[in-house]
Amino acid sequence: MRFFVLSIVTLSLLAACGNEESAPPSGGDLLAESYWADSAPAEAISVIAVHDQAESKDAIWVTGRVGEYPSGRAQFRLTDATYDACSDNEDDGCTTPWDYCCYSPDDLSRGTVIVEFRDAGGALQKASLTGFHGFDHLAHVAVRGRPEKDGAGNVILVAEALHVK
Amino acid sequence: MRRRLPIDYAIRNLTRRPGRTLLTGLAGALVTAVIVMSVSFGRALERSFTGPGRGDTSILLSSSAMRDVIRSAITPAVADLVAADVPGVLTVHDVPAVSPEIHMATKLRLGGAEDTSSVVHAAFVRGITERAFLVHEKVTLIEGRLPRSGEVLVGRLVAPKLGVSAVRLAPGAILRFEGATWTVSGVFGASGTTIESEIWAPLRELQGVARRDDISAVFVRMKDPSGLDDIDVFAQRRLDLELTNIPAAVYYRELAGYFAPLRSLAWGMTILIALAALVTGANALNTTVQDRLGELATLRALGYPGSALAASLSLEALLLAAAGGLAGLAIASPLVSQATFRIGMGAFRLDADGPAVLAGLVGVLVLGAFGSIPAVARVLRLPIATALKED
Repeated sequence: MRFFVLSIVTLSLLAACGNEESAPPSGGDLLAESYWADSAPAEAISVIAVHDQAESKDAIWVTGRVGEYPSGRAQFRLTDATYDACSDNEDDGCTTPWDYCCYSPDDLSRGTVIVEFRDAGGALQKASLTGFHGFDHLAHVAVRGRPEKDGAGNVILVAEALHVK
Repeated sequence: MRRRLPIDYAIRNLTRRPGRTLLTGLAGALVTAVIVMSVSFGRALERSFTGPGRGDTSILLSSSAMRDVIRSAITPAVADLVAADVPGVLTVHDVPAVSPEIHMATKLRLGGAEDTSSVVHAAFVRGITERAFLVHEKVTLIEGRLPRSGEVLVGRLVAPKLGVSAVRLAPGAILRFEGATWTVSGVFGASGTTIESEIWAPLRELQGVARRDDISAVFVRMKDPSGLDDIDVFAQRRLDLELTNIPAAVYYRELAGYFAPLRSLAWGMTILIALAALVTGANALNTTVQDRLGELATLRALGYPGSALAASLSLEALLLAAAGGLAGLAIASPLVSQATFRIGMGAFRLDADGPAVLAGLVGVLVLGAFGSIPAVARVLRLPIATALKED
């Protein structure tokens, strides 16, 4: 009986160790609730259209679908809603359809912006987006933010508000 | 007080039928050897492919490469961009641990251009800079020196992988690949990982001879594993670079996963062989009981309880299993130790280490214990009068 109990305790400890090792890295807190918008204006523009207004200093509403995003950082790729994710094609067995790998890099670049939630100092926030009002891969969302274009032509939308449809 | 049979009674019984004892012991020895080899194989495979994957290191490669470093092609500028833009990159004496690399398969010939008879070998070449040693910490120079222009380092498993003697790849040896001639400047080890089956050449020269402006991947080592998220952020933000970020531990675990069926097959065969030995051992012991019915019944009549006979029979089985196990270790040790197994573009070295030896010995003892169950059950049910009459 003592051996049985000892075995159970040992196995439990081993299992506990395993769980600790396989736990995801700390993702920080969920994105602050102040970023939530109850609704998005109907005149929100498409992601493709943002590329033409990338020099605008005004905040604009942009609508699209959530692509890839890192864990524990308030950043995601917003892809034009007219783009089909691989999973929209029933015959496609892609396990990560949110990477839009069916599109050429050029097409993808034209139809994608990077959305970032930054702190007062301009640094990317260490906050998790997963679960923020149903935020997930391929979710239809609208973002209000100011577009910026980096030296390589990537458009970054510095977000002020997020609405998940 | 309950009467017990002396231990030497069990030992003497083993010598009464030397032929049967020898054959049963041999079965145990073979099972032990197979278990040791299987465990060594599994552990070496695991060590080889998961060993290079540090928890604080990530690999940036092309998003269109389908997570395959060899198929990946990215701009060499990524290395400097990562060093400049990603916070938390490990630095050693102000040098960032960011290693731009080319990974490629090539056709290799041993000897200089005058040696027209040399065989063409398939080999794996990695183009590196001196920063590679900051990222791949397990790599250690064990002979010679670091490569200069026109020179390469070879892993210590390259020779057995190519099926040639180590002398042919010792420092000073000449190799030819990608249309160029290279001199071996040194030999490196990497704690039994798959890296040991690679040839490392200076990145710039390899780019030149292979006519490549790009590189395959950038390995980045962070100060802290939690910093890997920042590499992800960089890869996401730089859409123009078309990058995918894969933690090194995940990448190498996926590589090891390709060989999981092979490992399962080895374990399946081991289990079948062990079951065959179990049945053989159980049958041998059962036959022994049948042959000794009269003797065992007499012992019962003299006052020895059934449990004493059962304990003695179990002891016989365990002694035989232990002897077989030791013989099995003697068989497996020279076969396994330092044997090299070639697999795909790599190779790994087997080693009969502590866990493998322990698994072999425990395995054969467990088989011995289980194999004695039918005989023990029979002894416990032995009707004394009938058994004496049968004798």
